[in-house]
Amino acid sequence: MLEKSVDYHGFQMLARFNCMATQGKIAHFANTFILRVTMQPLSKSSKLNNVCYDIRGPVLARAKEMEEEGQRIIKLNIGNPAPFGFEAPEEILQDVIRNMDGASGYTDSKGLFAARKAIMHYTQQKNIRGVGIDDIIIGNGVSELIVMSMQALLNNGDQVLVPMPDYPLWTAAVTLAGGTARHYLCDEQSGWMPDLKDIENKITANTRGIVLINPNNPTGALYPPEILQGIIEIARHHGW
Amino acid sequence: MIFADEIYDKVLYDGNTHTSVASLADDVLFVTFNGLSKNYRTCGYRAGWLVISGEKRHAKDYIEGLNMLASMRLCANVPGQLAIQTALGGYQSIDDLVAPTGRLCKQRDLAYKMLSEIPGVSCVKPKAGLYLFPRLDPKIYPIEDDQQFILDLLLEERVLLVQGTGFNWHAPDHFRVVFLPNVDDLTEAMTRIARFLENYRKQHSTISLVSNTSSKELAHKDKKQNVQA
Repeated sequence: MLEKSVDYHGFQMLARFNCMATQGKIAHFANTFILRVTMQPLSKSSKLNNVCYDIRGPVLARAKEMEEEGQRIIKLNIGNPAPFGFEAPEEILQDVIRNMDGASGYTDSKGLFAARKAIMHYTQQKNIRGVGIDDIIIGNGVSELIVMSMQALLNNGDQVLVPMPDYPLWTAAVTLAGGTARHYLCDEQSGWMPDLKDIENKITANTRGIVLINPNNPTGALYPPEILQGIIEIARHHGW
Repeated sequence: MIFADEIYDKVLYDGNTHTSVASLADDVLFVTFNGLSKNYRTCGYRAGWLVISGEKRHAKDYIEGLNMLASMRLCANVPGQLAIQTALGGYQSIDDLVAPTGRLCKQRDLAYKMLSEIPGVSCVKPKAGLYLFPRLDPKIYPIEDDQQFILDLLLEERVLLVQGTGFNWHAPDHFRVVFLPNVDDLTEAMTRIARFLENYRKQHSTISLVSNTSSKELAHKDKKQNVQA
């Protein structure tokens, strides 16, 4: 009976299962069940088909295998300061520990008031005007918020201008949200500055916005106000 | 709308200053991203934030969507949030690390110098951040598959990098280097990369290198051609 499909004989099997359980034969039955039934292949969602994040990709998997074999790898693949002796400032660590007692409950979904107030003051230092507490959302790292900001915005077929090269989470987040990343050139000849003409060329009726990574990962470029103004001008012109 | 990822806004070298794009206009919608991971070396705390600014009146529905998604995951981890107020106020130890005598600046200088000395390798000196993104002259390093190239480097020299196409770069001729290791470890890593590239040149280069200088000239010419193309 078990060599045939589970669906077809499901009811009979259930009956037999109940019977065997009462006879203490359940373990034997479970083994037979696992061995004989053909499982359907479990595929990842097609939403992930074009999502790519190679910073933790197949080469890293090989590096892990090599480490398990006892080899020492110099890892220059990820911006993780702690393993290289960059420790968190002591004052931060102490304050987290001191307040840990109060950390076991949920906060407001946007985050702790005091933390958001400090962020609000930081935006004032950076001359960003008109930011209130409710304009700030704290997340589990920027990574979560990048994904969230794209999920909230994009319909299938929408486009977002993303730098090339980029920090690949941006492209992945656009793709996962059903959008298409249109990559605009950052020009190595000009110190990796965004190419404003290339940006203009890649704008379509479906463009919803543009991503700037500044200071830039991976190039180390820092954009001067003129370049930023140029990008604002484009956004203004297209009514984003 | 403009999404500005400014997570490295305090990791600045050579006295450079950072301008937030959102500070330059009030009539465009900005979402600015920042966090503690890099400026305060606490990436494991997972403490980041987004700030909505500029023209918001037309974006009420989008902002409602963001708030809905934030609510669906209840809140960010609270221990990480506890670090934010202390981090942003008072003494900023990152300034010591990026000063000319600081560890990060010294490591950037060393990595930049050692990479630039390799024939056929050119690099824009980073003004900020933790990375270099050097170019491999395709005539000297005719790479077809840069992931395979990075895998070969790993297997031969036990140095792990990420290939340029991993950053959606359109050609297999770049790679990213993280310059976080201390000067001794970084020197060792750069030496291994240089040795790997030397072997690669011997096996694959389509032009003969007379000296270091000539290769630099060739690389320069090649760039000019690219600009014209």
